[in-house]
Amino acid sequence: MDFLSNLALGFHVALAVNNIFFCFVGVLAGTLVGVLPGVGPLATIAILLPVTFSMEPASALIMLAGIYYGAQYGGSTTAILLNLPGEASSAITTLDGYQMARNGRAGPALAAAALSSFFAGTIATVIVALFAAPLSKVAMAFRPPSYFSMMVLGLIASVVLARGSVLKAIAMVLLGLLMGTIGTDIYSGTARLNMGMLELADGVDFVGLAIGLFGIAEILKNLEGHQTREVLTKKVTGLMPSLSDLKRIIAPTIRGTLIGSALGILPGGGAMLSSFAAYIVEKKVSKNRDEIGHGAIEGVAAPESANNAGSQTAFIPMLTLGLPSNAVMALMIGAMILQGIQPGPEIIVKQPDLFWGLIVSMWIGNLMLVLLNLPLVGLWVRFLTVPYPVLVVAVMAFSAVGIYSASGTLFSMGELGLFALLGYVFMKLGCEPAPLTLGFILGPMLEEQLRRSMLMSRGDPTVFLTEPISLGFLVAAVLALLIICAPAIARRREEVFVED
Amino acid sequence: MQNLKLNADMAAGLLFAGFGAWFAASAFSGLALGTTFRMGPGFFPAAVGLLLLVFGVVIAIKGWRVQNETVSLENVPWRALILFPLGLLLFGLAMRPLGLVIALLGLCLCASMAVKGMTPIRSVALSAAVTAVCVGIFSFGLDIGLPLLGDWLR
Amino acid sequence: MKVASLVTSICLSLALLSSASAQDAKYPKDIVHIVVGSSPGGTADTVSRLIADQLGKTFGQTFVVDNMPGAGGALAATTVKAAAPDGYTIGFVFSSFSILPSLNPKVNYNPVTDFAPIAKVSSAPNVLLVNPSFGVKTLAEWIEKVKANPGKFDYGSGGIGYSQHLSMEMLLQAIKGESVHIPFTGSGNLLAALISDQVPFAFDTLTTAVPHINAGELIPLAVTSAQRSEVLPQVPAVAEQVPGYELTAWNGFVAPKGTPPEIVKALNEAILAYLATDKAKEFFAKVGTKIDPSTPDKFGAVIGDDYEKFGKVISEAGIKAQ
Repeated sequence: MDFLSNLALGFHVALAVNNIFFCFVGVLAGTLVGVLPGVGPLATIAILLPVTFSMEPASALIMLAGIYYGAQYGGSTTAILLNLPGEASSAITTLDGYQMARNGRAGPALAAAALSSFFAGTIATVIVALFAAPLSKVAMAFRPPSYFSMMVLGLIASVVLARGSVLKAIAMVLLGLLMGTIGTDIYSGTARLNMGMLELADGVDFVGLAIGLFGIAEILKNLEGHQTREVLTKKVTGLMPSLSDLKRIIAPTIRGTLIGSALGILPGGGAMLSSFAAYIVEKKVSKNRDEIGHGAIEGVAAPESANNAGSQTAFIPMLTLGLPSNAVMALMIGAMILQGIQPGPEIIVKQPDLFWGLIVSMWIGNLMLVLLNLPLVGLWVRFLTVPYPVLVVAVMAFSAVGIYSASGTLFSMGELGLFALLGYVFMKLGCEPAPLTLGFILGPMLEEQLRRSMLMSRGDPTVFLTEPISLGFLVAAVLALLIICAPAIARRREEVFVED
Repeated sequence: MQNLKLNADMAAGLLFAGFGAWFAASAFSGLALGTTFRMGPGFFPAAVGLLLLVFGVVIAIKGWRVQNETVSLENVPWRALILFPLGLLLFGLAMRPLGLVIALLGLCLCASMAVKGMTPIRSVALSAAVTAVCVGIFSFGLDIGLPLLGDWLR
Repeated sequence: MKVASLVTSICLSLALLSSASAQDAKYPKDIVHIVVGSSPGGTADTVSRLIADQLGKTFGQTFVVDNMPGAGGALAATTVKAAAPDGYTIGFVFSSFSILPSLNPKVNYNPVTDFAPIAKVSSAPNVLLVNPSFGVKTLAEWIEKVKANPGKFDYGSGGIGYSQHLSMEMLLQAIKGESVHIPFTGSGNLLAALISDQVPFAFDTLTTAVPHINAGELIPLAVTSAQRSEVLPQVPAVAEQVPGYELTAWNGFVAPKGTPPEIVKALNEAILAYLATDKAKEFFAKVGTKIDPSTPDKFGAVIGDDYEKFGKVISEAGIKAQ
């Protein structure tokens, strides 16, 4: 069978001693970098790119890919422990992961993140191996109206993210959309809403926004106490998840994996949305949906598995079509070109050893990550027993250096401080930052696809209804709206009856 | 300010309305709106800004009528609210002329003094320790290329 | 999300401060900064790093690359313009350098009068690609079909004001055709749109297009260079149908205006010497662009010609940022 012989070839390449070594170096470096707030995989890959010039192409790619998914692993660690998301995907993990950590269950949260990620990585690897070529065709069927309608569905569903007031959550999404428009308009090249600052020409920096709104704002809130607690959390109970924990994460992990795999294939940046989507779905369908948002293990497993699956399947458009679905993939393509490999449709045929070696190495890398991270859980959790003042200072220092090293501007420090203050104000006023983050990510894509659809249809808005995929998403969006509104309407009627 | 209370919904609503108004006004005044065929750079921010303005007003009105969610301003950590951004700005300002080590020390001192019950001696010790760890990881471990000593010190 | 540069631009001020004292003795006495208007990892960045490394060896002094992405390279160009003209801050620029000022009135530099050209490094043509479903196989057929249906078809580009965009505007102006511009974000997304037939045709960089041409997903109609390309010798040049049409995307080094000529000369010689080595040839073959070295004067002429040519195309097409 083709599949088996391909896998055998992949294992042959990936298990070569030097490739195992580079895979390990990659995931290790990725994990460490991911743990540091502000330093993401993008920066790390950029630094290490010149090192790969002299390496074998397969080894170079295996190492760079290892950094990529290793960093996502590491990123969830700080998200859970300190409410510090370094990336869009881990912003969602903070919601339940950090709550779990505060309840003394950081260990199970970290372990659940590791295990569900590994499961998702395994399934996604099989999906990539089996269906890479046909799936890339599916991705091609998505046209601008379809993307637009998909994001509309995402926006409507995002209201579920609200733990408190739905109205405020919608307002936060809208504010996120607006913040996403700051920068340079891609259709006219116009600098807009940047208050005349060249530093905002490329928009608001996501890392500064997320670390400010989530991490530093959370510290400010913790400093409210009458006397500062010496330790952040309640007593840590148990490092590993219990059997019932494991049972609870099975279904969310499978759902998250499927959602992540599907979204990751879309070249229009679907992978970024996968953790949001999985969380939203879980909040609606999980058996324990009422606990989600207050430290439920499902709320960690679902987005983590989706994120990992999505980042794995994001390699499909990159490898088979040469199309990057995010900035990291664009860098990977750069790395391949420097190795004299043109990513694209020919790569599977012309360089099967590279293609299959990379895919199998991803699975091996995921295995390494689990083996590396499970024993580390105990170590990470110990960080929570560090006296709180130490933690405060360390988080400030690491965030500042991480962000400054990437931007090199005084402006980025002001930006971080401003978002920290804003995050604190929002927290005080009962507004959650997660919907804003989603809006911020969706905003530019939503506008881009909307305007592109209208250009292509010469200004005819019915294009969103005549395109079948788009119509499907819009129908789903209407249904979602009904489902969201139904309980509210029902409640109102109950209230009316009560008053009678 | 022992008994100062704030209506959370009203404040949030007004904040949102303010943001919405600013975005919409900037878009209407400075950016082309375009047509449905060729939408201009102002179309999307103007539309979403107006929507946010509406939502903000609705939230504020709701807060004014119901008045059940109040926020206490009793425990606001004013010191941290001032010292954190200040520390970050000092860090950014000090990086080029003085370098990573001094910039970090300044930031750490600011951050640590924001914690209640911090004594100057503990603050200095803590800052020195965190600076050392940070420099070790970022400069020697990752080699991110930020100079340890800035322009004025070389 | 803002793409980050790790080798930061802090050191820029270093160059400014240290330069005043460095005029006297032999150049370079201190670190030389190469400002690049793109994020780390791209082709331009990699080329500049490679050359920086080589210049460092030649001069026995460190040459660092400062990534300054933003505003399509305008941020970097403005920084170089403002730097002291002492050879300690130079810029690595690419075609957009002479396009941006015409496109965006807020971009505050003149590529001809504000800079001292050092050397061109490499160049590459664009290629006109059509999706097979569009049903044309030659440039002549394409011209006929586009002229017969003014404003009916879309064309893509990697972004407004990119060379892909201007290649098409130039061609449309020459044949008096009309087509709706749909900008995408970068060459990768443009190719995706072309292959999935969201847009029927577009110009794109030759090298990134070659695998898709070989796989039969896209048909190449013509290249933008005056002569045919060695990479695709069977594909004609646009100029064979439309006389006088020429556009090549290039990159090279510039210094701030007023940089001492002997420093410019020293840098030019060092860069050209490296470009003549086998190592350089091997590398550029991998990247897929042609080594195309030139003297400072000739590079200045290229910049000036492009500035004039693109300024005309942009004003005729009515493209402008606010």
